[in-house]
Amino acid sequence: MKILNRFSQILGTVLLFSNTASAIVFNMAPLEFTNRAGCADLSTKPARSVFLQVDSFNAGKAGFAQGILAQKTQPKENPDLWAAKSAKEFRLWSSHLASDIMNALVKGQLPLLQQDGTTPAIYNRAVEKCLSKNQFLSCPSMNDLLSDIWSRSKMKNPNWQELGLSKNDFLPSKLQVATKVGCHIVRKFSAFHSPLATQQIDNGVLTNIAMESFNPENTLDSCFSLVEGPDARFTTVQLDIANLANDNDWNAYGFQFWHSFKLFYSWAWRYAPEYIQEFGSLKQSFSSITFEDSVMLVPNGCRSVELPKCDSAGLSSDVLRAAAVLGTIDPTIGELPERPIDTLFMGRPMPVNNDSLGLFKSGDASKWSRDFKKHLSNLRTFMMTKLNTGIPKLQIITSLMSADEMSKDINMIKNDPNSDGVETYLACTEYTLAKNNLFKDIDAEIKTLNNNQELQSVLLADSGKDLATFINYYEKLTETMGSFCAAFEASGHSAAGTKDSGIYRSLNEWAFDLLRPTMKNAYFGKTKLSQCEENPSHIACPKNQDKKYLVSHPRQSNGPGQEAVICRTSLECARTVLQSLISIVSVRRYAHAFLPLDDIMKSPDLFNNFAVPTACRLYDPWSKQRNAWKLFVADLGSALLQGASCGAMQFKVLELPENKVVGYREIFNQEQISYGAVTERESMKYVAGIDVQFLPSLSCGAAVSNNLLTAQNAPASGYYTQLSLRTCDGTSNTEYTVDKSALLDPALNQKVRTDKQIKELCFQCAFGLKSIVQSACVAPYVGQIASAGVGLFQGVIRLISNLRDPDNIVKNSQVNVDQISVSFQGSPGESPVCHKNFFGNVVCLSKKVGN
Amino acid sequence: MKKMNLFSSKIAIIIGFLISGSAFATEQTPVVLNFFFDSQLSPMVGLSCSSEKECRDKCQNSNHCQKPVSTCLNCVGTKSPYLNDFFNNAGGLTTACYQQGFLTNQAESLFKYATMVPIFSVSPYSSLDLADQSFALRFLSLCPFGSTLEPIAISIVDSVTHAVLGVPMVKCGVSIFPLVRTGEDCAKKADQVLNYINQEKAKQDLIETSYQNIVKAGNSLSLKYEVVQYSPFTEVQYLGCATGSEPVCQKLCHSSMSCAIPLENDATSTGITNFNQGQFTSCGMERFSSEILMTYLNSKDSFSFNSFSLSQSFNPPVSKGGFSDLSIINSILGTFGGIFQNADNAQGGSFIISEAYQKILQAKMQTFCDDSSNAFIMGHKGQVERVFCRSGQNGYFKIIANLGESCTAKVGQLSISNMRNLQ
Repeated sequence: MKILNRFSQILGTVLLFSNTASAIVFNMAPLEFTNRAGCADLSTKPARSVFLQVDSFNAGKAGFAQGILAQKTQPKENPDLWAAKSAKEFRLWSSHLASDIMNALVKGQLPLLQQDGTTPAIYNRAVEKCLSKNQFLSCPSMNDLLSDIWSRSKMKNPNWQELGLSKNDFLPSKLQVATKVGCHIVRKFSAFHSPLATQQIDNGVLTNIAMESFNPENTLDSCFSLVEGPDARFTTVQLDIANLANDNDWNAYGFQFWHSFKLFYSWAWRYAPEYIQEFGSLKQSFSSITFEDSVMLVPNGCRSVELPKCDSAGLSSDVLRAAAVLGTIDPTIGELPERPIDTLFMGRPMPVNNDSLGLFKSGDASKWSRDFKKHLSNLRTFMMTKLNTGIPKLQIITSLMSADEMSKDINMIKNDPNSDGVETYLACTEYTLAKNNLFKDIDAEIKTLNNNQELQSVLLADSGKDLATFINYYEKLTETMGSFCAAFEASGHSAAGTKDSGIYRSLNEWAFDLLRPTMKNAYFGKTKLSQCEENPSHIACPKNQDKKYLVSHPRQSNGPGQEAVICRTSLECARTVLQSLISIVSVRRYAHAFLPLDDIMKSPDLFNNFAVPTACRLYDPWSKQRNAWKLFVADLGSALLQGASCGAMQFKVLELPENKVVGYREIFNQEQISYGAVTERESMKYVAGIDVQFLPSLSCGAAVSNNLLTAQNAPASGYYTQLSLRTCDGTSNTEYTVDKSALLDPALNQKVRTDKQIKELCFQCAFGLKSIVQSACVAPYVGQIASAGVGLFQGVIRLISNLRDPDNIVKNSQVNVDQISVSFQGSPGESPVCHKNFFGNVVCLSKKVGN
Repeated sequence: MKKMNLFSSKIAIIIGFLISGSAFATEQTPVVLNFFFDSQLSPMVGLSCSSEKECRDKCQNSNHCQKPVSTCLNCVGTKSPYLNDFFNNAGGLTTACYQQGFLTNQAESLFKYATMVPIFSVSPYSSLDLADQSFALRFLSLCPFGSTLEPIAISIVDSVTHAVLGVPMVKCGVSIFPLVRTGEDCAKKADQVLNYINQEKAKQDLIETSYQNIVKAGNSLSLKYEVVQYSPFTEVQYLGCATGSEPVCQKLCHSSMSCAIPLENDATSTGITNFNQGQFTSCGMERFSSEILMTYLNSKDSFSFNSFSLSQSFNPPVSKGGFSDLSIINSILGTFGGIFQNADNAQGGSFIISEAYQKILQAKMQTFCDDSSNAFIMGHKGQVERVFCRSGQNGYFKIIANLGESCTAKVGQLSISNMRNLQ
């Protein structure tokens, strides 16, 4: 029990709660309350607080197995104790490692590795060697590099320059100074998590937070607590980046921070010598754990760990969220489920921050985590089973008989007067459905199964190669079936059973669902068997029970060999081939959500159901605000026009174009991994000028920069020279003056300017066009100004009412737990008074009552 | 050869206690591959040898006839397609070829060249329920019908990345049979395994040759040596291999960049104590030899510490008769008693060396090296042997002798040829 001694020492350095509330420092990131638009907007910013979901099941199971084996050596060993010890140590060491790595990154001991793999150069080289082969931990170059970096991070003099690393490759020192890493076990979701359940701060929320902060031990525990929660298998550990000197700086580095965290976390669990040493007799099984299956990072709030992308992996987090709530009744378990992109958003806005995942409904956090993980692993098992039954069937059929032979046999049925009409009907229906692109593009998806090697890591090396063989086989069969079925129909052979409406139930489930979409749930009987499995002698079932068309003889060591009938007729074989391929297609549709495709832990935006819609441009958090300002600008314009009557001045309403997605279907059909790339842009209608310097800020999003730079009809107007773009943070004075000549360059018309500085930055527009007004309105008169004032007032009223939209105008306010706690614990007779300050932070101060 | 005596007391004959091998043991198969658990209950792989001589012939010494089972990347859980396939199909679509006994004779080369991970009937890697009866029955059927032998399936993993490459064979008693999928050819599978062994052997030979060439060729190899504190309890010997010296790291730890080899905490504390107690004098400067450095990196019983090591936390001393000086080193415990003690006193807490005492020891270490270089004290089995004075990537050794030891004898004893035997 060496570990316990060590932990109690480590604990000495970790802040524990004390009941004297006066000095509690929670090391928690500010709680951020947002509405829908605010939440959507935050999805593009890096998380400051995350939940590390630790699932000790695999560790416990491995411990139990080792205990049984140990018992054979030393009979006094108890497998149950091994399991418990193993689960506990897994939880302790995985939390410990997480906080170790976060601290090392915060202190600048470990470098930041860019998510896109571009920098540092030495990392880029490893990425190019490894990721081109879809590898990470199974790639020596990456392991060598991470190992060397890890060693150096422990040295007094790391000589980073030997690896080509400079100061710029670490968290900047301004973020290092005050920043603290917080680590707590969440025993129960509480007021500390109220942003997940409510959008706005009110007195009740603040009071709850304050009360909770006085007795944190009711809901939180020390990160390295030796006491297990009610369910030792599941633990929710909250990791916080607290005390950040500057939020905007964090926004610039946060995604790199988490990416680096994930890389080091995965590597170090398996190879960091100081941890391996602590694992003791469990070291072999601990370092063999599929670590990424046992830990998951979930952002605590609307911010993200990874910048959401509109790709298969991003879409899968939506599916994960559905799984968390719905479990296995989710559509994903259908035989051929809807594609994730088809289910996205489904045209209805979803509520945010209202505890849709039911965190607060379950009494303790481990129970919630257990239910969530149970749903996930059920779905995983379900999909792996599909894969593990589909592929061997295809392997056996394709190895026992060539497609040509099978085609020949199928064609022979044409001339057979005794052929089974029911079976022919079923086979022809299924192949026609698969081939018909009106129905879900099954054919296209089968043919592209092998295009990107997404499934590579879950297939045996041989099966990966086999996929191409299976696809060829399928293509030949499709051809055969095409002409066969055409001839079948032409010959007037209407199948005997086709008049029986029950024949649909004899189809495979996916085909039934396509033909009878409204009866989806009726397919399965109570026993979950299709009609023909349940009752083979049914009139609408193939009469092939006694046939043995394709038979395999597995070698049997025990007793006489048993033969395995793979399929009983050539048509049944053809149906099996199609059915098995459809299993693989359906697995691929949701593979990113449920299968262990990567060596990097998952970090789904579980609490932000607007992250993916935002990334996919289905929702634009700023559009309402933009529209409100747009109208205001128009109002203002007419006010000025009315008042100033500067005839020379031409106003054109600022119409900020929005990016519109051309169509997901097309993109999907092209099998592009990323959906966001193709967008159609409206050309921008340009605006003349208004002096809006007195407005606080006019956010217009990246769309403006893109469009200004590519404006189709950009005239060589002097107005543009007056227009400048600034970065969003408001504190930075960097100004990008639009390059007039670039605008006029016809080559740029079609292409978004890729200037690194401008790309992906959020911009504000400032219209410093006093000069225009001056030039237009040569002689302003007092009366004109007065009448302009009336128009302006009307405009302001309309602006305010528009900005009051509770959902679609970005709202965001923050609360610092420590600050609330301190202000609420004032002496009797004092009560805190809270207000929202300029930066959107809610601040409370204790004030004497009655003063 | 004199050093070999050191091991005589420890000759252990390794017997795989999970396997009742005697029933199948025949004269033709004297060498048996064993999977077992060591005294710490960690999984091990070993080669049986019936005498000390045999052990020496096969693997230099008995300690080298066993090694820990390799890590298996992503094996616990349901990620590995090979293991999923194995657990789902073993005894069904996947069966053993009993007529193909060829692999049985490959036990020795398997041990030497293959990176193997055993799969028992109850396995941490099982993707199924551990109590799955149908699997247990299928698994048993991997060994010949009617035998009472418990099969051990053998999975092969990549020696560098530890990724599973397949589960190509099964061990029944002393015999090793290929595992094939329906439709696969037994002889072909055995050949595949043999090819794998040959490839691994070729790889190892290549590394060994380049290693020998560069280590023996030059003493000015570009190696970066450091003793680094990874945690309060773990120190690591770091060896950085710059361009040209990659084979050194490849041989030592399969990396092309650097190796991090953990030091035994107990060995360090014993080394520090012995260095503290002794009165050492230098037997003269010795040129830097990468080969000598490698003996300390390669050997399990070696220790190496520098001034930073003194700030480590140490495990409670194991009574080996040498750690009598607790009173001095642990003076801190007298002053701050209770801090490092904990409730679990019976097992003993760890301890650290007081700062004042660290300074005394540092000064003593530094007397052997010039001011511009750092001193590392190195030795084997608690015996202080050398000081390595290192400055940047340059350095030199000094053999140091304790009061009563003759320099001549010690220099002879620690010559390169004798040191080689320690590896």
